[in-house]
Amino acid sequence: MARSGYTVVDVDAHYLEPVDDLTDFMQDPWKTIIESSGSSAFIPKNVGDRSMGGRIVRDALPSYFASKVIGAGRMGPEDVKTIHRRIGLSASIMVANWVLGLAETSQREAGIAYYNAYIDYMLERVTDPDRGIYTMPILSWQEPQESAALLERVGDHPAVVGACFSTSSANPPLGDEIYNPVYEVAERKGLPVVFHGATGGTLRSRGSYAEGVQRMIEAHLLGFSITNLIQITSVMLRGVPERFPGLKFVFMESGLFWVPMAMYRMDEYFLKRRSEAPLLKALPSEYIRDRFYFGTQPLESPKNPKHLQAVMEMIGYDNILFASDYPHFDYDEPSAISGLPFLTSEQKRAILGENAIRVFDLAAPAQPAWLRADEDPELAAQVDAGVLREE
Amino acid sequence: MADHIVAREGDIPERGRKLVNLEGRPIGVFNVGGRYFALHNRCAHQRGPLCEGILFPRHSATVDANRRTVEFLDHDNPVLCCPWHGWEYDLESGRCLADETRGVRTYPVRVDGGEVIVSIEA
Repeated sequence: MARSGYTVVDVDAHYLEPVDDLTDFMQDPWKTIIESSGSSAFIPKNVGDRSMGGRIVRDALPSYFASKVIGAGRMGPEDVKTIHRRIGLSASIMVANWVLGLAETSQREAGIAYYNAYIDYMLERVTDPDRGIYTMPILSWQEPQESAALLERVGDHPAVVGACFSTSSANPPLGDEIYNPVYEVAERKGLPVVFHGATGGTLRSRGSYAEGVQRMIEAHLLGFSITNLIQITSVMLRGVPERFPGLKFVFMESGLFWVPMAMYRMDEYFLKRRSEAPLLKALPSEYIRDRFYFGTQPLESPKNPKHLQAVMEMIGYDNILFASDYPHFDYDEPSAISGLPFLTSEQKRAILGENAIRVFDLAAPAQPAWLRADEDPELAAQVDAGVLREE
Repeated sequence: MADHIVAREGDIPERGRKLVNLEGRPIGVFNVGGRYFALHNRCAHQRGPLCEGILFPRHSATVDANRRTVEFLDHDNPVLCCPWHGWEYDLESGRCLADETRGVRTYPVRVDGGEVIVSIEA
């Protein structure tokens, strides 16, 4: 497996949490409810098949596509290190997988039970800051007080590096003042707020932005990007950056091309209707340059690389964070960045790792054994044979 | 131009494949319907192991007299799908079905004297 040769920090690596086992970290009533009914009764399933009928395969995590049942694809803590080797990562911020769908269901009490159990499971069994394995609590937009309490409870843990809203279908959108309790805790604890959407087009949904589309090609395309557009517009124009001057904002999983549209469209509207966003002291695009950051995945690949270069320049090379989104069907290899002909080495280093280290205030990752192995064929053989364990 | 014997006729079964490395190039050799195809084993997208992917029926569509979409699956004329992200390739041309301007190199394959031979031209 070719390595990029750079220190790679993955800001959106998905952990396939064992949803039915999360009941070990729950109390009644939800512990007994979920043990007896199973997670498929509560976590919405999307229309469509991510594996494209088996065309797409995840050799490092074969269970992910092996079953069509919610939560059947699962990982254990050792799988994170397998994925670090597989993708070529020095560190990753793990994001939940199955429970993200709870943003789109009215079963918000189930959501609170799962979100609490998820972070407790991760902190007890999976995370390891010394090995670059971090995570964030997943926060419910439907229960801001509960989410603030959850963030207060876990936000000081060394493995917790951000506060992640599961944003899909959030109503009102996340700029509203009812979400102040969450932003207050995040700002006080120095945690960036991460906005992570979902597919839309669920089989049992309260109203996702992608309702009515027939297939996942539309639902996935729209669900993430429309969600991000709505949330960034609301967060910006309701003045969250001014209400909480210490916060940084990170948006994941809809590529990069939507960002210039958001920037310049918000600027145009602000110039004409400024008094409707009276807290802002500068153009929205200036706030974006200052405190907003964007995961790269799924990175668009226009045939003319100058188009991608222009978009990256509009956003700012310091504001772009490599994300793999492994094991999802549309994940990116680090080569999606390191292979770009127009980037300098400095820009590649920034996007692949240095920006994330700065934004999430991570310790510089130790160079893992497999990375050193690339420079030493004997070491490489030992790592591949499983003889040499990572230190 | 160099000829490389990659298999004996019959070694690669119907819908089967053999992965080889010829002159430093990773190549997949396929047998579909008794015809052989050889493609460069690096997807045009992010250099994934294309030739390890599945053969899937070719999915196409037309418009009927009522302007409704009618979809077809051609099981006899499959496409090769990269396992990383599902990019679909025509075995004969090596072109990506979603974008004909992208594709992978194909190599001439012939059967001669009971041997399956891949040619690599300079």
